[in-house]
Amino acid sequence: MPREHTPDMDARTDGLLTRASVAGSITASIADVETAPLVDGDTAIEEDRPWVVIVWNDPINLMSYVTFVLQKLFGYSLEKATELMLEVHHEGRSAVASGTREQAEMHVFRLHEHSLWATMEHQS
Amino acid sequence: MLRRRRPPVERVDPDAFVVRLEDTERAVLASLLDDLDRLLDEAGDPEREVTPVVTRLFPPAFTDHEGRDAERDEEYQRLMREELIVSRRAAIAESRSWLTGEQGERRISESELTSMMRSLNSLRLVLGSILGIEDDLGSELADEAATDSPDHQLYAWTGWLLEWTVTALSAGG
Repeated sequence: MPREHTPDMDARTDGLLTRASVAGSITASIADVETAPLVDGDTAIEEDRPWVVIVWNDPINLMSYVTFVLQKLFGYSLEKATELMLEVHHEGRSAVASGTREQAEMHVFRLHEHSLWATMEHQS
Repeated sequence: MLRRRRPPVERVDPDAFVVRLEDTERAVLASLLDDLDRLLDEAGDPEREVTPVVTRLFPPAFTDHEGRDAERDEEYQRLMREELIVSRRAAIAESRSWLTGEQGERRISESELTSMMRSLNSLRLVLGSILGIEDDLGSELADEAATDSPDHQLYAWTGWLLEWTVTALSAGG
């Protein structure tokens, strides 16, 4: 992944993916991390909060495809992946993983590689 | 389009699959992949108008809560969009290499089939966006209208092939 990095860029990106190449080594952790209350305006505390990876419903995507991708990327069982896929289908979105910002970015990138609509947000 | 009795994609070994596509189907798929490759350049241009195709191929990475994540997403897109294009291009190239090779039944690896799967889904995003599919009802209507237009036929056919591809990849090796 040749990309020109500058110290300034690295500082600003706060670990933004250097890392699609190592994405395969990352395993998902379900969004069950308890977090401390957020103090408004305290950026440091906000950045410490876990990030949640959300998959959104897109009617174009086949249900079988979404299930398979969730199994493949996160190592979920068929049952777990199906449960998440159905949540996407019926509720419009599902939290499929959580972690640090860097981990979440990696997950989002890999989901985008598979053309799934995925975003990340701070765990509430 | 005629459908055959034998699956178009089937696992035959732990790391080997057989793909049974007619020569015309392979030519159509290779042509669609060429179109997708070209589209990636256009759609990947950050200066380009944001259309449903662009949004689907390059979705935002941050859930935008009242615009708070706009800056983060801009930064992500600036750094990662090219990476995404490169990754998609690699999948297209891996698929084209065997699609345009010798004719007849082809034996391919899991990696090659996975690349085809990813490319097929990207193609469906583009075709579905062109057809204006925005909800489940639109998707169902598109399937029902498969005989009405070439775009509908391609949308249905890529869905059919993707379904078989996922089935084959999901089957135990």
